[in-house]
Amino acid sequence: MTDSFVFLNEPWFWPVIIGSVFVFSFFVWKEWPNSSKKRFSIKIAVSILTIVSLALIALRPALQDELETGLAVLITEGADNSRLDSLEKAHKNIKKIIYSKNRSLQRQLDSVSSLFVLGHGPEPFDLWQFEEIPVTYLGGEPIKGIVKLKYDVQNTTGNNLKINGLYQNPKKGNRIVVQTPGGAGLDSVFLDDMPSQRFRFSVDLKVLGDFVYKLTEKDSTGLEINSEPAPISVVRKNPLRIMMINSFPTFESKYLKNFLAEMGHKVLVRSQLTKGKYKFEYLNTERTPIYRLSQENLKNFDIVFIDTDSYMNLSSRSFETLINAVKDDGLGIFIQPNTSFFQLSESKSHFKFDRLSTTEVSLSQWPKIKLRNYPYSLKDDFLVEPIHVSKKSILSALKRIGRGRAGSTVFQDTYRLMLDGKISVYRQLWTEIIGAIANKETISTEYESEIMFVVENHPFDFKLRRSKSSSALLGKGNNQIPLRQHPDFPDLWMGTVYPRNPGWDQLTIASDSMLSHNFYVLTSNQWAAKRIVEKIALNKREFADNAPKVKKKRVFSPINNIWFFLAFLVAIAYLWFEPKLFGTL
Amino acid sequence: MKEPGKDILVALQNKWKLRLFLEIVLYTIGPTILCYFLGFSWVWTLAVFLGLLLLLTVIKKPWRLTLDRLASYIDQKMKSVEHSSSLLLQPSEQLSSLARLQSQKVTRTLTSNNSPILPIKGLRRASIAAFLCIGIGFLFSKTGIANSLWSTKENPSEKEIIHFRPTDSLAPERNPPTVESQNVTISYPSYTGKGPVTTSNMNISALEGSRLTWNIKFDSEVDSVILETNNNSHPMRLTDGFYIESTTLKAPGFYNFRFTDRRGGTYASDLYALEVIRDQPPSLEIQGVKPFESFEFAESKHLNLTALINDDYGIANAEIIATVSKGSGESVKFREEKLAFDTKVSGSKKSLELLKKIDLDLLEMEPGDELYFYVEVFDTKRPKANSNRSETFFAIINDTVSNQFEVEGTMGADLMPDYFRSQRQLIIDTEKLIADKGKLTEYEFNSTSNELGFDQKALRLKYGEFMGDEADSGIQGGQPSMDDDSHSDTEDPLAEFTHDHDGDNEHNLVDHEHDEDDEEKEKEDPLHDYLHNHDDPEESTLFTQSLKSKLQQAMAEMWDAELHLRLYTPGKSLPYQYRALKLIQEIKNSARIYVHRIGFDPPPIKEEVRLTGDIDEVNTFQKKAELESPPQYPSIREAIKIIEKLKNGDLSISHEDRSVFKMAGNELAVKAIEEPGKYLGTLQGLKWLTEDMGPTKELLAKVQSGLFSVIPESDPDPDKEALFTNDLDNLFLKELETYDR
Repeated sequence: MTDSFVFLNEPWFWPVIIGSVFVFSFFVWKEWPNSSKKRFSIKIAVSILTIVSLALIALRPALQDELETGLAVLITEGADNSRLDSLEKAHKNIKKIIYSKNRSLQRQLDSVSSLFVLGHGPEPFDLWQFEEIPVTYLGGEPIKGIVKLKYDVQNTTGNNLKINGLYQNPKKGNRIVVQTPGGAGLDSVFLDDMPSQRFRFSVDLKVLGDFVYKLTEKDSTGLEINSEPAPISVVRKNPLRIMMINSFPTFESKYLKNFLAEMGHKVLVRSQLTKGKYKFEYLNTERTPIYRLSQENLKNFDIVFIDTDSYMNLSSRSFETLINAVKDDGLGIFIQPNTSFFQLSESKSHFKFDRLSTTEVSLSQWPKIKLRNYPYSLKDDFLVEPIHVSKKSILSALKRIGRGRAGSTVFQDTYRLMLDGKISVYRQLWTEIIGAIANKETISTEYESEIMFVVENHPFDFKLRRSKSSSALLGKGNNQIPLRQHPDFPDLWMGTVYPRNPGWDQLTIASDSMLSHNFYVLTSNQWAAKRIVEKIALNKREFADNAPKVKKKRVFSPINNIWFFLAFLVAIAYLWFEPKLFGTL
Repeated sequence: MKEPGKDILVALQNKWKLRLFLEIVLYTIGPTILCYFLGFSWVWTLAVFLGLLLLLTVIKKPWRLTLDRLASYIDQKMKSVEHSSSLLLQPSEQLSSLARLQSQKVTRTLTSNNSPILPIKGLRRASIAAFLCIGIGFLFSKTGIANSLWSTKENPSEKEIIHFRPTDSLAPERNPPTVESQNVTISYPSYTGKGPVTTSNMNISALEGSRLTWNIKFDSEVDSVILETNNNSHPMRLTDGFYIESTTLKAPGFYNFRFTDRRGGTYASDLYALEVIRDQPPSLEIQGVKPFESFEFAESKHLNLTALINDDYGIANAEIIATVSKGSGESVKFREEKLAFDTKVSGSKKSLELLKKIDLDLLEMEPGDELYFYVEVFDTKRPKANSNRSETFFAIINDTVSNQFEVEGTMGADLMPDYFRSQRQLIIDTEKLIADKGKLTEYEFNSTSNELGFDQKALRLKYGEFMGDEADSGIQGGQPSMDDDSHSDTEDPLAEFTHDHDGDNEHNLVDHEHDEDDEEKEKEDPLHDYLHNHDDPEESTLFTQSLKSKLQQAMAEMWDAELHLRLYTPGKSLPYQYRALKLIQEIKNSARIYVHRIGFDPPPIKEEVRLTGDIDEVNTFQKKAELESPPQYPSIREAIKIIEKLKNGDLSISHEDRSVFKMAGNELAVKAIEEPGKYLGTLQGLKWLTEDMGPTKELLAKVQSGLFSVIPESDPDPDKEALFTNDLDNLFLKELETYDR
């Protein structure tokens, strides 16, 4: 007997065979005398059929079959019906489980050994339920809308905030408009016919406070289709404390000094008049003359501008003090170059230089504006970070020295930009240089989170870094939030809050209300496309290496008795009617 | 009995009647639709329709069209019926046999007739009229003329009606008084000659100095009405049920109305703009004269000028201010005169074209005198008229005697001899001679050419002296002063007899040439006092060389020029003259640098005292300044922040918020006066926020976005970034540093 065919009532096999032979013999004996030869042979054939049918009814033959078991499909939001159909076609007895948020599926998942997920997938907070089961994530219907968005929620005034985003499956002719909290348009991008489209907005942050800007999609007639909030928290800028050391006054320093002082930074300018005599200018700052550099008085500054002559004439002790202030306290120094600067040794200038044939360059930001430069460029090196690059030559750069930075540039006479009326270019240029080099403000508390937007009643996991002793962290309504300390990093703490109300929310350190963190809580239907895509990504990551293990079971499924019964019925009917129809009687 | 002829006539009659009706309807429909397009109310449109219908029906009288008239019309129209169509109207039994035959013939004719009998003209005309009316109406409504027709009407449109809102949300009366009639009368200043204009639009844009009178009537009694301007409030007088206030428009601004009802509730209206149109100064254009004109004494000296003047309200006066200057140098005298235009300036026209013929002789001008003049216009503005003046025009009568030779450029001393003709002058004269060739006799031409040749020679000799050449004979007699020069250094037999004044200057030049020759020997530089010197010793020899060779070259050119002039072929001489001129020009330019060379020698530096200056009095200097500019619009910024909070909160405005809004309103008002169209709405919104009323989210959003647009873009500004550093970071940085080595 083959493997693929068995009788379920195998113990009865021989008795049934013997019985059948007996019945058959009886039949032959009974029919033999009174039949013609032709009719007899037909009758014999029919009787064999009858007896075999009967025998098989009794024996129950079964065929072997392979069966998949423990297979289930989880149908989540956005599931594609055609996909479900084909899945059901491929796997016959697949179990369908309908997902609903925040509901335990343990009972249904009990018997499941392998799971397909259709649709956008379960919520991140429900993923724990699938930890034990190998899951294949199949995805769902394509998503339309802004699926990626990147910008800094926390900003300072005067920043030009860049909002970058990705729109999936855009509709041609529609446009995305970035709107002020009041709803006035600031900038817009037309959508095109392509699978996905990147966009970028820039928003000038003029006013202090917590605001909700909007990203609105409008159709070609200007009708609003969808509007999503873009919360931005704007805090006051910290003024920089700047010292300029010049061996003689230059236009470059004069314009730079005026620019910085007008912007509200604290500037101290020391220009040498003659030996030991200086001209001190205190702009927006107190009268505190500095004759000799010491690490102590350098602590009062974030960046020191020093011209090459003064820099070269520093006594070795002063030089050491300056470099130590950079190394230890994070001071930034900017060496204002002249031609002799490029001859300095690397240990002094901190940079290596390449010769450049041109003395006029333009930056990609302002392709039409020519900037004068010394015929050198800065060499890219270990720890050198370029600030301005034009055609692969570095024009201004910084080098990290300990905690601080030393920087310089090959730009020459940038004040000419001011004279030419290109004031904003001049300001932007120096803003970039100074912003990169100046000492950063050391803060004792920092909030980190992977979640850009928090959703109401959803968990908001955050990390808190703080160097000072622990004081309680308070949420809205001054309820204390429990924190977990990282076992390896004592300054890293983790916590979770479940914000209840949409809108701005805050985390505050109990001992110091200044060290607060503002975050925006969305309602559950805002930024749906973006959150779905994030959910999909999370699902994909979660289920990436869980290849499904389909278990196959060999089962014997019995052939239905009805067929044998029918055959028996037809055959016995023939045998019964035959003598009455064709009988000689 | 059947009468086919009569049937035909009856059919025709019916047809005609129908056409008449159609004509009437067409004539009626056209004007009706026109009325509709022009914006008449539907009652009027219907009235026009019915009235016209009735009128035309009465005029056309379609019921009067009897069969007899029709028959006579057919008789006229168709010759073939032979004036017998009336036969058809009579019963055939009553006709004689001949008449019966005739009637049968007429019937046949009529039946077989294919050409139209009835007049179609009227119908055509009617349909053209209807289409015309509809077309005009459509055009009017499309171009907006229809709307402008109505805007002059007294009835204020829905938009213009002053809406009052209660300023106190506590006790709004059930039926607050509303404005029944409103208008403002703008009386233009009398000088404009414009009549007063009455409008119901409360946003006023009028000429500076106009008198504004507001008349407001309420439908029920109110306690008091106040007109509030930027900072003042003017109670309005009640006269005959109207609240009246008037003021003179001086500066742009805003105003609103506020009234108190009988129960003490106050209501305020929207803000309205007061725009001031300034009276523009008259514009002026002068035609017909060049900015600079010169006349020869002999020719007629006339200037014909036309002044085109335009003003927005009227020109009061226009005159020419002429100044004549006589003499030159220190003895110059000026005489100023006001000249009237030949065309009278009358009335206060908006545009004038004035003519003036200035005769320089009438101004008693003599050769060498100069006339400067400009036109000045005044408009009719009171109390102080706007004026405008044209640029100044010059007219000069050339002096026949004075002729100056000047050295170009900025030389401290005029070193060039001034009593011979310059090369440029020679060229001009030569060109003039060539041009006048046709007018001159051959003798005159040849003699002039010869004279020019002589002048060219004189010039050549003069320059020759620079080179140290001997002065040629032949010009001594003509130019005695030159004689002085050439011999001044050597022996001059005439020295005792001549009274030499002119040679001084020349002397210098020649001396100077000597300087060049023996520079080392010469200790004292006679030019020293005149010169403003920046020495450039590098170029000395180089320069002298080129100067000399250039002079030689120039003289060679002059030789050739003279030759051709003497040969009476001035045309051929011209190219040589030009080349000579160019060379001389170059020499003159280099002479300037040449002077630099011989100038000032700085005193030698005493090395022993160098850098040993007394610096005791040089002290450390300290200067303190606060340059930080305060942020613009602080209250507006604060207001934006407050509004954001209100939008997300419970919409209740605190007292402090209100005062911030008020200050923001003051800041915005400054901006709004410049651009009322852009900011008026926002200012209005802010005003509502300062009143005691619950704001709506829409209002807040509108005001907030309006305020956002006020704040200027911020400049790039470096920022001190906040950074959290921990031991791990520091460790990492230290590691990095070790790898840097």
